[in-house]
Amino acid sequence: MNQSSSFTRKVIYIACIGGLLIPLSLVSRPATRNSANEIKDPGGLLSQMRDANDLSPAKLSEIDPGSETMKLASLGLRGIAVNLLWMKAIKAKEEKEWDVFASTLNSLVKIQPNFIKVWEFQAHNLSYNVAVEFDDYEQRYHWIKKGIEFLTQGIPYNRRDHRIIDNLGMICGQKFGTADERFQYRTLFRNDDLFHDQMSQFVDVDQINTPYGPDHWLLAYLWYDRSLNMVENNVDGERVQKFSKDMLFYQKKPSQLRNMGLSLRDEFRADEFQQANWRRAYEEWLAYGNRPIRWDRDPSRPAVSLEGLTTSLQTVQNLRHELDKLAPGARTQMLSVKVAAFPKEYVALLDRPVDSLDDEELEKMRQLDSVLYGADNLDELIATTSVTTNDKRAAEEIVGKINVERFKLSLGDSLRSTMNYDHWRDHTLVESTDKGIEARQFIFDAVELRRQSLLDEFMVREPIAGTQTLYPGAIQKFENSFSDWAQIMLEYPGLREGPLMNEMIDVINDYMVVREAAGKDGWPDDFILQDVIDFRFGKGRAPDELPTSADVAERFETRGRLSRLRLPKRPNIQFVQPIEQE
Amino acid sequence: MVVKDFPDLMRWLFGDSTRTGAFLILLLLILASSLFGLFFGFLVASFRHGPAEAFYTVAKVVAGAIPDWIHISYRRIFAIAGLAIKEAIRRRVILVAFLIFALSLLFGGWFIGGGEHPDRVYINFVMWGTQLLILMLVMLISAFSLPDDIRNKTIYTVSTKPVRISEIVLGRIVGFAILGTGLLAVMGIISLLFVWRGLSHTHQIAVNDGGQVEFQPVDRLATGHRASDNAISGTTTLFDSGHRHYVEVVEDVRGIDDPPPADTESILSQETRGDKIVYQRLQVMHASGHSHNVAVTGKGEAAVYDFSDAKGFFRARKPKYAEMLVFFDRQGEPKREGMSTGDEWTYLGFIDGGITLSRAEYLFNNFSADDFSSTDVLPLELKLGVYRSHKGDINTRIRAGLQIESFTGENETALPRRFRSEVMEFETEEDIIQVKGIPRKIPGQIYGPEGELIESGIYDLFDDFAPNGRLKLTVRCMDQSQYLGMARASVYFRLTDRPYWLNFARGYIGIWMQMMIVICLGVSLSTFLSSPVTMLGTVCAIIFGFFSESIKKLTVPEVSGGGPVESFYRLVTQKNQEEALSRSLSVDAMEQIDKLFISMVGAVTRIVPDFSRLDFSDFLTYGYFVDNDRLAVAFLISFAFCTGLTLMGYFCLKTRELAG
Repeated sequence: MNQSSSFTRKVIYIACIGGLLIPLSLVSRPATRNSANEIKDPGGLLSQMRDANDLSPAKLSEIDPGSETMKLASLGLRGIAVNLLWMKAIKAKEEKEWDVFASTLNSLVKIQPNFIKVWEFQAHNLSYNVAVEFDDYEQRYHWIKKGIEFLTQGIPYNRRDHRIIDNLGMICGQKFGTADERFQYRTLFRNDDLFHDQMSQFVDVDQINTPYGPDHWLLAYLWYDRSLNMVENNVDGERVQKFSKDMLFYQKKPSQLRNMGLSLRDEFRADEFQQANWRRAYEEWLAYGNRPIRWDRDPSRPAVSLEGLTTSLQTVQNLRHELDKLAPGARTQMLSVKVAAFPKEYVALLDRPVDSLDDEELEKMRQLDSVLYGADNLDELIATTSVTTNDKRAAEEIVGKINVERFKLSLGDSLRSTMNYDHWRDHTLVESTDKGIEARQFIFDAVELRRQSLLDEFMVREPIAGTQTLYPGAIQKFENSFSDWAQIMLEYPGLREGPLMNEMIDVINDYMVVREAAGKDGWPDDFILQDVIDFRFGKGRAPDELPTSADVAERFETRGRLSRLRLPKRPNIQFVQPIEQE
Repeated sequence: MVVKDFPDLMRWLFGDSTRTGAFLILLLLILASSLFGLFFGFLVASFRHGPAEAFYTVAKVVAGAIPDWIHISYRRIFAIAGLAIKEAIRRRVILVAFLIFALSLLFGGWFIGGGEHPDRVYINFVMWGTQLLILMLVMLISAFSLPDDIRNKTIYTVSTKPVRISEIVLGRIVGFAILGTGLLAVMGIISLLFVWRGLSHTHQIAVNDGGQVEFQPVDRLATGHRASDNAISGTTTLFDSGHRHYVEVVEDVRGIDDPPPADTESILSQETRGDKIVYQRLQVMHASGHSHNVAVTGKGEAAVYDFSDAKGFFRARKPKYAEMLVFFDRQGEPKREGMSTGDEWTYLGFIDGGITLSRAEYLFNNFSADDFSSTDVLPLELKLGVYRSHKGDINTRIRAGLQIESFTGENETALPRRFRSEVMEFETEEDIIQVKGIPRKIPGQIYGPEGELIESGIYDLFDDFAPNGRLKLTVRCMDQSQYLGMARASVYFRLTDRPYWLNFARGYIGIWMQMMIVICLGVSLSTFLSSPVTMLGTVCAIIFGFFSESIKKLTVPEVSGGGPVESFYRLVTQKNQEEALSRSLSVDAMEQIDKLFISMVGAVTRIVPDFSRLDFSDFLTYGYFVDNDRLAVAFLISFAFCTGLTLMGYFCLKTRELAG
């Protein structure tokens, strides 16, 4: 081959390359926009497909030179490089080479910056799996933060994805606030000004301050707020896809305030700040209850709101009255047999306006409704069999509306039960009342007195004046608290079961221990929360084995028998001088 | 750092009752390869010239080899080496390699640093980068040199001169070696400067809004932060170089006649309390694998705090490892391995705590005061794993106990008096190397031959406890139902540190040895293969060499999923690795092919050099000195491979010339 033929060949190659570049540039031509940010030219086919599938790097993220360099340095073997790095990370974790593990993850995400699951998985690895490997809580705290810092690196790469932000909220909230070492973590967090500075790049950390110091639950709240904001208001005018169910997604933000309230009440004596926080938690929870929520299995179905129960019931009632006008007497006739089985006061509830019913009546009315209408759709039956032909269309419309409302009721019930909505609404409300705050203060004081071994009433003599003052001990504080809780339970009977009551059982157990330590019967004869205990027993949920009224009665009887047998009474030693009450 | 082998040159070379020495293996290998070479040469020659002539040809080649190596001329070797260097420089590969190296160092600093141990990241970066570049470079120049000369017929300008084949092969190897060594030396010096420059930093002390330094009282309940036992207050430095340090004010209580603390510049104040002097001094806590010295000038609000450059990054610890580690179970029975706490990684063996007889005994030999720079306090370093079987007390770390004892070897006369120290308790800290100062004079008891207590007192570690150079260190876990994990390398006495530059140089000697093997391999293969095939062969050898451990794992017969054919079959039929295949002729055939393949791969892993034994990056990364025995073993391995490959190259080229 001579020199000229070689030259010709090269020219042909270059021409071919040039020729191929023309269609390539046409299909990948980017979209252009005018000054009003409207699309002037949608761009080439490739460009359009990238846009349609959210694959354009410029849209997904900022283009990071470090990441791009790493991708280029892998010389088109990105997949292999990623696999090698994953294997290295797994090996480092297995061999507990934590700094190698962390640095490998940093390289890994440079090559896979837009793969959300990598961020989620590895951040979880750092904050949960690696952190727990350490014996020292300070090191655990450090590695939880590493997971958080790792996730924050992913934000600029994925500005239109809320999942990283949600994960940040979860780790900042749950991991610090619900672990066994939560007290230590929360204390470390309060004093970690460096970490607060780091977080200030992403959220307004001034908002996490409380009178006790910065609180991580508020940091979690701000992350969820940011996520919510992204979904509702979009980012840079671009739509943000929501990857979470409505029911779960919208409850995250208000839950953080409630969780903060739960944490604070164990650490500090209840005060105005905690009361205000509970109030805020209640209001935000109520706002969540009023928000329309779509069914994740079929988003085309009508949205429901958890607080919409009364409205839906009232609508159903009104629609049934309308239907009854089209078929007078038909309902009464059809229901006559079924209704006869129920007491009259039950049946009367069906005709009363829904908003006039209290919670207990509403529950009874719903049970009755379920029995009467649950098995066969009675409204449809009335519309098909008892309505004249002229009114059939109108009747069908009404039945359609009734069915929609009944769907809402059914879905609303399911969602409320899943989220334990009613309980948390009442719980947050109760905690925000003066009575609730007072009850909490009594418990806090009781625990403090118990720590100081001041179990029962104690006398303090003023050294100069010589007067004596009787102070309540832990037992009295507990009893004061139970008195408040009894009133609260009377007002909110729904709280007799659920997390609040579970917590109260723990308090009651503490109370019993304190009584026994003070030389008294573990269980008083006239325990003020006895009704609540009996109620729990009646529900079949009493693994705590607290004495029921029957147990107490049996004890009375035993005491009587002992008295008849003239057995000696227990010695009653009085160590305290007669009380001079002021 | 994970250390699994503790080479002893003599034992490695000549073996002991448990293993065959490398020397004997080498002799057998030489014999086997000579026989194989003769047979292979005879076979090739037989095809070319017939069996009778073949015998003569092989004999001639072997006989000719002796004068070829005896009458070798160093002048001619260096002349050829000079030509090889010129040729390599002309190719500009070196320039490109150096350019890449310079660019990596210029911009590498952007991406590295920070983290828990920035020193490790830096060292890893330069070691890995240098290794990669230098091996690629020598592979390219050695693989292309001879084949290009043969293809372009420029080899005749040399071979027509009175030059021996051995000189041609050696000349090229020496030339490339000189070039590679020079480049490696330059890279090493630049890397050291890069690491030193990158890690060098200082700090400023944090001040409040009024510009004053505020020392907060130590209160763990309020801050959650753990402080030293004698700390009374503290503050922090400003955030710099990706971290900040806690600065504690500690109280150092000494007798009136005792000397003041060595670090006098850090003393804030001193006061006399009874017969003691209390020095309040500053102490900078470790962060990111290092600390700083701090000097205080002036008093009160006018005080100025100067932080020194980072200290603790550039270490070359010389550990004195125990000769043996013996675990004891709950019943006090000796075991080779510790308990398993369910970890996949079995490097650490565990002992359980509380009132059991479980313990770990480290048996030290040749324990002598001469190895320590200061014998008043001996630094004992520990890196223990912790496993909690129950939550226990969150605020307190798991406690360990150390006890020192004298002991005798198996066939030695029992010591008339056996010394045993009191138990020294401490809280363990995971993931860091804890340093415990063991005083030379320690309280303990003396026991007679029957185990009877003779007396209690304070005794000398070397003269009393280890008069025979043997010392037993027992580690116990003090907390009930909790576990401590350890390996042989987890506990050691730290001897006098070696100079860091020397360790750095040793790390690069490791790369140099790898480079020499690659050069010899490249030159040797290029005597009978074309350039691309030589390159491919060398790359394969490097990959096999670096990943031999992982590849060996694939060659065990019971590997799940089978060999390549079976794995492919499982892949396309979506059968998992554990699912048994129904027996059939095709499955049997598949398994036989896999067996053949696996045995071939297994054979290759045994032939190619294990590069991980020549790689000392971990030692540099974790700050441990590359000991002489380890270096010598690596050198002997490299030398054996280089010699074998050079001879192979010589015979191949000689045969090729004969064929031509």
